[in-house]
Amino acid sequence: MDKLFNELLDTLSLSGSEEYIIKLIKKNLPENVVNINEDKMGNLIVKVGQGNKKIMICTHTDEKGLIASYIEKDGKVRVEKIGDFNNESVQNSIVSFNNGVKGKLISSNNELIIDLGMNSREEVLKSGIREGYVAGITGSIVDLKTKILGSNISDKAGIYILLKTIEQVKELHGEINFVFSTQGQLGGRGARAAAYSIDPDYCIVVNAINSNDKDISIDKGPVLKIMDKTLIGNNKIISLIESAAEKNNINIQRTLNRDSSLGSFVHKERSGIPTVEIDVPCRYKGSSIELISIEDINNTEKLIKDIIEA
Amino acid sequence: MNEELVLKELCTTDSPSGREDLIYNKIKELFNGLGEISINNMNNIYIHKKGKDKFKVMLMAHSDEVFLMVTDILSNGFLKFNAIGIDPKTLVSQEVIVHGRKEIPGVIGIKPPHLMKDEEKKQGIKAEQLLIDTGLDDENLKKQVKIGDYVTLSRQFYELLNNNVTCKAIDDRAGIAAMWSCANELKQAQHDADVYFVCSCQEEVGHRGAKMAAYDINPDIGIAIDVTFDSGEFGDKDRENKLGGGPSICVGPNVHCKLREKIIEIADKHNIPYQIEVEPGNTGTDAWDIQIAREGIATLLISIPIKYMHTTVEVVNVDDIRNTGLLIAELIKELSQDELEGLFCF
Amino acid sequence: MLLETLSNSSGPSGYEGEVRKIIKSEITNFVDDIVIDKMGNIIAHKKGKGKKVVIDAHIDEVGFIIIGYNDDGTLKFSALGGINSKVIPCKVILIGKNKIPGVIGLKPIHLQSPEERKNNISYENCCIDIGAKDKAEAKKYIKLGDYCVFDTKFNEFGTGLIKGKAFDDRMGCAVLIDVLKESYECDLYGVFNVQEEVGERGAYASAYNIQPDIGIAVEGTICADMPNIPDHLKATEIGKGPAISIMDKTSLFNKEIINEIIEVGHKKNIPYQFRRAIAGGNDAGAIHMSGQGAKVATISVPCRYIHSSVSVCSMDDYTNTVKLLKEYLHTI
Repeated sequence: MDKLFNELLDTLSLSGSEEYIIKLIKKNLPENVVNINEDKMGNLIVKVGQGNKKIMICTHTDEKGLIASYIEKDGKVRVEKIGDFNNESVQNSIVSFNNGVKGKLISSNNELIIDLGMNSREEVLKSGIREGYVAGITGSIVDLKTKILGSNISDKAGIYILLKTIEQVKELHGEINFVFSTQGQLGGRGARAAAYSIDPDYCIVVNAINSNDKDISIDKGPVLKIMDKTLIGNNKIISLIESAAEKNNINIQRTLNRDSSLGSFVHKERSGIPTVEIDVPCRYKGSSIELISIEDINNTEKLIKDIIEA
Repeated sequence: MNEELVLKELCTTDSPSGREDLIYNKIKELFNGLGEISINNMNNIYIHKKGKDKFKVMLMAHSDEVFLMVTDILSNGFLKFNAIGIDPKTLVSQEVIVHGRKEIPGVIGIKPPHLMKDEEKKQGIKAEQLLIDTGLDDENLKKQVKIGDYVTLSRQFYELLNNNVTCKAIDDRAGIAAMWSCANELKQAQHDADVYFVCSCQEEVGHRGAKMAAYDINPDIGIAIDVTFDSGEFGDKDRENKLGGGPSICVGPNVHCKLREKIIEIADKHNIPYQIEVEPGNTGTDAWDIQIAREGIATLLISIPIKYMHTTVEVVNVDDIRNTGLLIAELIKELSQDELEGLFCF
Repeated sequence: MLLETLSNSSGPSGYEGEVRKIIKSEITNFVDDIVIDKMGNIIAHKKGKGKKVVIDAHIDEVGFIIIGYNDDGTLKFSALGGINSKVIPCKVILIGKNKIPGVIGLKPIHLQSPEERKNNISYENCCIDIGAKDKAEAKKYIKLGDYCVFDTKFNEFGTGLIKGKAFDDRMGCAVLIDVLKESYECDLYGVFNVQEEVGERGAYASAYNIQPDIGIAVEGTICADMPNIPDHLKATEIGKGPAISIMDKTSLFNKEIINEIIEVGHKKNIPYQFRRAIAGGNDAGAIHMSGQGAKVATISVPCRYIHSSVSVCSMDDYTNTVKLLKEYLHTI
């Protein structure tokens, strides 16, 4: 497994505290990339190339999280979810706050509670945790040679793909804006602001999608999402994507579902921005241990690069 | 050319959400000579009729219709699908068009009743139980159709009694027909306002095109024209909308108070029949997104009452369409820039 | 008292005229300019050199709107904003500009079947009665779309507490008016927005106009400190100071701003608490989802029974909220 991917998985990147991973991303940008900006929503925008055409390639940088809403007298921390996942898929995980304090996530009566092993509210406050602090799911990363097993892979795959694309992409026929956006777990709030500022000709959002091995499988290539609850993929951009895939012999899967897209607010900005979502298939997405295929990641990156260079 | 013929041409052209470019040529044909016509990259269609350029009025009716989408290709010519905005109960024995590599006619069938268990016979239908039968062999089907292809409903246009007509997609081709009617009224008129007739995209999936077009045009006034429920036996009994009773003017937070009072004044002055309906919050129409575009736009919502919304047998009264167009045209003819300042003052 | 005037005045979502007038006259001498925008929001500007900051309060209160007529002269109605149906029966309301009094009536218990007695109240099984003898007479006095507010008079009660209607968000309005009376270094916009209760509507338009760096909403927020509620569900408590929000349905609040506010609280000895619920939403949601976005936060005065006919607050909480906000603004 690529060292970079490992580092990304190792870095806690919670909604509202994406600065740690943004720092890591900046560190891994090629030296010749100089047009790097952070905007009011904390998005990192990397601009390469110039020309009449303006493209936005966007992913989110935050992973699913748990926000401390109340600290009980006995030291238990009640938490609420940030992101779209269910209690069953994450209970009994080990979770970690930004300051390194760790605990176990329990589900009791449909409510999520973190046990830090402390005995009083005062002890918790002294450890540096208070209401409003956010914790993330931690877990070991397992290299299965052609696959990777670990926590939050679905939330980091997009970052990895964008970074690799920035590194590899050669022929630019326009200005490409790579957006590492914040608050993706909350519906793509950062992405919206970036889309407004950039006002591109079109936008491709890169994310991950659950693979049930029935209509979406791993190892079968990137997934083109035709439509979901919040975004109808623009048909002209879909054609562009299909051509690039055919030309470069990349197999793509097609799907439609009732999820919410990172592009849901992007496409309604300004006079409207044609937007399509491309996903990496991921088994057990949203659970504490996810499974992804390295080949799918590479093919998705290749597809994005081919679309940009077309 | 009259409102009924315009409506017929519009309804019998397919335009599912996201593919409103499919109706662009028809719009160009019908609105020819009524203004400058263009389409933007998200399929919002604009018809611009110049006035004295003192201020901008935007009329908006959505050009998309409810639709189905192919989710799976099965054997023997059958397709599985999702229904977007349509009650699956109304799809049984419905003829459709699958927009694959070419237009493929299909039939939505159901398990014969004598094979249904007693339980099944009593329950409603879910979209997952229905299949589209294309009659094609496996090889041809796979060549012509893929996952994500659009499917639209088939229906001819019929005249009923009392100037009522029926077809699919009256929601919101009736609105576009009303804009045509308005544009015709204004053809020879002089007016202070620059008028934009907008056929907006993707209303049926969440009035998405409205925000984009309102941003693009940045009008002083935005008038959304959509359809609403009648208050008959199978309509919304809380309202007071009758087919033939005239356009229904909306009252509520989504609508600019003084502008609404002005249009009612105009209706009374010119003896144009109208009805009133109240919406306490989100009207679920383009008006909702128009109102808060950019720094805010003074918004009106005018609705044409119809029956059996989102089915292939929507019923509307042609006089209501004509009166909607007429009412808005009279408003535009009368509005002067000076008066506007007073109307917009709080 | 300003709070009393604001609470007693009438301004449900979409019909804020009366309150708008009062606020405008209160702030006119303390700001550099005032604009009433296309939606009816008041945008007051105190020019400054630093960051562009919006402090937001919403003018509108929850109320009702007349949607139809019953044959017997009573009226059908719906809520403007969210009013739970459990709260509506047997209240006196005032309708329209002429403040025509009416009552919200329902079938007396004697006439209810055992089934009906157990069922929840709904808007459909209540009516508004102005005393009209039939539909025709009702139509003479009341038009479709006429608005209604609760007829509740402001008053002091208990120990240092106050009761009245519309504390959500006349509390916020009063705090903001008070805040605008001092000078600050930052480029400050005091924005009084309309139609928050039907979807933060005014805030989208005013935020787009201003494009702030920071947006802080001032609210009257939920407070469930009754004895039969477990501690973790109380959200906020009366008397424990202004409540700092961590997150709600429409915003994840900026942690730097929250930390700065907490620091101010410690330094200046101002009590504060956290709003421990993530339910609800407010104008901050609209502010950061408009244009370039912004860093947002929310400070609230805890109020029992918001979105009903009578709310309860502590005057100390109100004063401390003003103090906390003023001191925080001085640090920007």
